[in-house]
Amino acid sequence: MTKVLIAEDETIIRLDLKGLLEGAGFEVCAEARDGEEAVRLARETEPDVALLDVKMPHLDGIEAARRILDERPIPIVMVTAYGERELVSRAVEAGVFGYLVKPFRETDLLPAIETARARHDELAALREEAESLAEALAARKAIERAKGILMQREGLTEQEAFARLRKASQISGRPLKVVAEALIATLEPGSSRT
Amino acid sequence: MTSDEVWASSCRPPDHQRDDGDRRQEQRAVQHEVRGIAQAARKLLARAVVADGEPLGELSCVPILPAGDGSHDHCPSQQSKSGHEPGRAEVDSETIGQPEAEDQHREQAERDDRDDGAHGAEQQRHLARPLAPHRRQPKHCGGDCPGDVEECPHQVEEQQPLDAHPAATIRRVDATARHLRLLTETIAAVNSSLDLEEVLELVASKVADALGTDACFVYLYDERADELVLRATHGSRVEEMTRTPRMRPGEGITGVAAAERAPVMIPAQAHLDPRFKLFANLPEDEYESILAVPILARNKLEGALNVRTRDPREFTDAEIELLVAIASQVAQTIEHAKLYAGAQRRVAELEALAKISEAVSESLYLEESLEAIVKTTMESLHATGAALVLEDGKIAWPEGRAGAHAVRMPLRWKRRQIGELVCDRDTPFSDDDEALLEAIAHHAAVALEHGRAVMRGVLAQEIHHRVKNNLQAVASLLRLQSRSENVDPHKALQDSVNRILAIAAVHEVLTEHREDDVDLGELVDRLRAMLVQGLVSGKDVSAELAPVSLAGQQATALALVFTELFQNALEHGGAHVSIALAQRDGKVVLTIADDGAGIHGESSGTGLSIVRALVRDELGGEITLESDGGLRAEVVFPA
Repeated sequence: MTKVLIAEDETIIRLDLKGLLEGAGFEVCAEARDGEEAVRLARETEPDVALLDVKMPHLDGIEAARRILDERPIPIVMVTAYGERELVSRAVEAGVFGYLVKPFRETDLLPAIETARARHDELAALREEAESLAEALAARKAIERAKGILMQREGLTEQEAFARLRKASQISGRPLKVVAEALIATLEPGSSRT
Repeated sequence: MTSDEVWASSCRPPDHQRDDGDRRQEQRAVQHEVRGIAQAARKLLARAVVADGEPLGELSCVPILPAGDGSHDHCPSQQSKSGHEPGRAEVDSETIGQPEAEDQHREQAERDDRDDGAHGAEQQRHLARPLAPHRRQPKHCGGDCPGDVEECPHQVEEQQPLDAHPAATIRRVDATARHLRLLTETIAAVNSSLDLEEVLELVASKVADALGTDACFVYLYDERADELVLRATHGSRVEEMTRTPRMRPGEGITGVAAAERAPVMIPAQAHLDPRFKLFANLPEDEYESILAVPILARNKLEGALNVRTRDPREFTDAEIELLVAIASQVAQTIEHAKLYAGAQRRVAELEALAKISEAVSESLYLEESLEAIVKTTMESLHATGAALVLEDGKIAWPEGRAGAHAVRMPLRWKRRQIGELVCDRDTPFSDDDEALLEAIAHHAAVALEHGRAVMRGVLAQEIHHRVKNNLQAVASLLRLQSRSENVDPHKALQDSVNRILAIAAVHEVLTEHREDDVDLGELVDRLRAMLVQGLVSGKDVSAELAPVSLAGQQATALALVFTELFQNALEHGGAHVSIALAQRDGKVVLTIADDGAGIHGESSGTGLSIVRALVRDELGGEITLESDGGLRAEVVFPA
């Protein structure tokens, strides 16, 4: 069951949110009455989604969202009576995925949460992809560099140099990138790792 | 601010006076320098006179002039009163033909001269003493000096039969040289300041000194009013400065001089002249003689000045010429001082406007902007009081007090008058002052509109937010009710309406009292009346309500809690319901008890779950339900 944290300073509205979410099959794992409590409860209960009111005592919802996201990226939906452009941009900047304007309807809430989760997953996937691409790029650079060193020092062609690296990788059972980096570190100790 | 503080603050020296201090210091430095130059010149001149002037000094005392001839050119005794020629004067009367002594005297005189200003009068008195017997001397002065023949020092000398012609020439040269010197010195002194008031005071005292007269009055021409206004006096004080003597050119003797642009001289009984104009607060009739000349700068009338003596005195042509020459130089100085004052005023005006612009653009709060405008207006116009009167007649930021003169400047915004800037002062307002006030009024109008727009925006946003939040709470209440099962729809709706009315009651109390806190006793009383009203059968409700107050949001929570509990008691209790609101050990206790059947088993329902949540989260308190011969609900929360 998806765990949801709700932070809303008005009890009636919080009760309503809780009822709505539980009715839709979510588990309300934490109810916070202000921003600080929301940050603390998010840390303790590790929710899958957070629903935060913008205007709350002690710490406002946007700042609370920023802190929660700093600790653990989760989809967050803001709920507010303000419909201000500036607030929306602040929320987006903080990394919030959804926005719900009061008074909201039952039919607004669930899609907003779903959208936020989908976007969050999408972003997470993109992030992962970007990371692996960066990794691949770094490996490629190291290999090119190692090839260059071998070609220069041993008078090999590019293909021969690559074949030698691949062989070393096969023998040692280590990825090509690690072998290349080791080679650069050995033969050109002064140079920094790529 | 109390009115005393308003006064105190209005009496506080404003910033511009401190600036004046700086300016004065600057001027003093300039003055000092000019004085140094003047002294150097004086010394040089004195030395020149000493060098080839010794025989001249002797000769000058030789009685020479036949009565009526060249009489204008001398009368050194009269001029000696000025203190500018003390050495020579004493030589004349006491140390004839003793150059050493003369030198000593001259040095003494120079030392005295160096002290200038404050010692001038004393010096004059001191020097006047030995001369006193000779002052009234007739005849050989061409009848200028009425008095005893015997008392004139020139009398004796004059009787010595010497060839008159070379001596007369020398005397004339001497007198001319002395007049030139007087002119130079007077102008140097007068030029030592750029402050118009100071310049005029200097003119009055220096001219009186130069011509050895008892008094000197300086008038400035106010072009706009076509009036000569008395600005500085020497010798005679204007007794009450509230009504500055002023006259049109052509009015009074000095006015005639100004109108005709020519000197007017009356040797005696000037106050009997048909042209004479007497001012109640200026004792002028004590003077016998008057010499009035216009002050002309490039043929433009700048003012007029006159010199007076208590004794009758016929001013010589040379003296008249001297005064005319001084006046024409003074005209230049006055022009410069006026230009300087104008430049200073412009700077001050621009500074004031800049200050206001800054306040208007920097401040988000209308009050601050308006305060800055009023204060700057007071400072820059040396006003006794200023205020902004708004459209609705409300007076914003009144400061100071009313003055003899007042200007009301309309504040216009898009061709509509949105208020007035009022400024009071004891002195009249000039065109420049009014132009500045107009500029300030324009700024004030912008500030007002800007401030109001900001306020409207902020307020509207806040109101929208609150309304939306309240609607959300109502929607949530209805949704909570809709989710509960097995409830009579009619009752569910009635309960919901009661809850909404409970929230409304809090707002009603809040708007009626315009306070942030709500008196719980009043709130509970209202809710009770509202809920009992809907009942068909009569119920006996007793209430004991202590005065307790709560902030808005908590009051809303309490209203909902009370409504639920009281409604429940009315529905399920017996004939009697008692309500008690009390404060105990720093806590508020709300008790609602009925004599019904009570509840059995676990209590549930939408209403109660709302109550529990509200008591816990909004009030930070606890609720206990006791079933003991009826239901007794007690809500305890920190006050």
